[in-house]
Amino acid sequence: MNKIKLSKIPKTDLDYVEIYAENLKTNPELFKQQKMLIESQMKSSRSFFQNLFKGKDFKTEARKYLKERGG
Amino acid sequence: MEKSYGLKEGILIIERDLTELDYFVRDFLQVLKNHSDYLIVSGFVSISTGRTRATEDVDILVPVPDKEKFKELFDDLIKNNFWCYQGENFGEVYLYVEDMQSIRFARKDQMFPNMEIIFINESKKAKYYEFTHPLKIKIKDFEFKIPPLEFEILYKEIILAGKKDIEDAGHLRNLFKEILSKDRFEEYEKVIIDELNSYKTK
Repeated sequence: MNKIKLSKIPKTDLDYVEIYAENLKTNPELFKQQKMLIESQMKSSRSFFQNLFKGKDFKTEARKYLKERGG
Repeated sequence: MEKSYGLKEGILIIERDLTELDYFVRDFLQVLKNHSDYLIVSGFVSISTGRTRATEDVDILVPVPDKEKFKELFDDLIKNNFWCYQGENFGEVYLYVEDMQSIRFARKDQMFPNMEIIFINESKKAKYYEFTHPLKIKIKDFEFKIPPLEFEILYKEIILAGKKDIEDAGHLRNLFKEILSKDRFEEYEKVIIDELNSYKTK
């Protein structure tokens, strides 16, 4: 496991973003974590909406869902 | 020492594997490019260069098409298993297009992620400027166009300026510190400040 090197003590979210970017520069292994996060989010989203609209017309339900939320 | 990115013949090369999100964008671009030019902007620029955050949409600038060209694009996207949030047929969706309102496409039977098409013409000065000054970026065999990094950073810091945008800009500033150009920052800042001032006078 690659460790993150701290160039400063992070206090804000922006500090974490900056430290991560500095480490990413010379540590492409960190891209693997990013890939896992992105794909996990996509999988959860797919599963959520497929269950929510199960047995119904996806597009009709999706448009209704978006309209109710001001989309 | 390993590096996460490099510049080769003016193309920004990112040394990582493709994600499902990349495949989604790539599949959309494969259809779009047969009909129109484009520029990917905003969150996906940061995410494609390693920013670890979630996104629901990928913003893309597209010159506003006439009705006939839009029909061809719309029909091709539907044929390639995308669906449009705004409607089932091109006629009803074109009402949004001619009004320069954004429209969104997702993969069939999926809600997110979606591609948000933002229509532009020469009257949208800052957007038109970045559109006409693209930077190519390549991840494995997936190549696409984004704004110059300095432009993207300033646009997020000055125009958008939300927490997420400031963090995206912070990611780009730190990751690409060694290749960012002071001259380009100065050049693009003028364009962006003009845009900001135009909002204030409206």
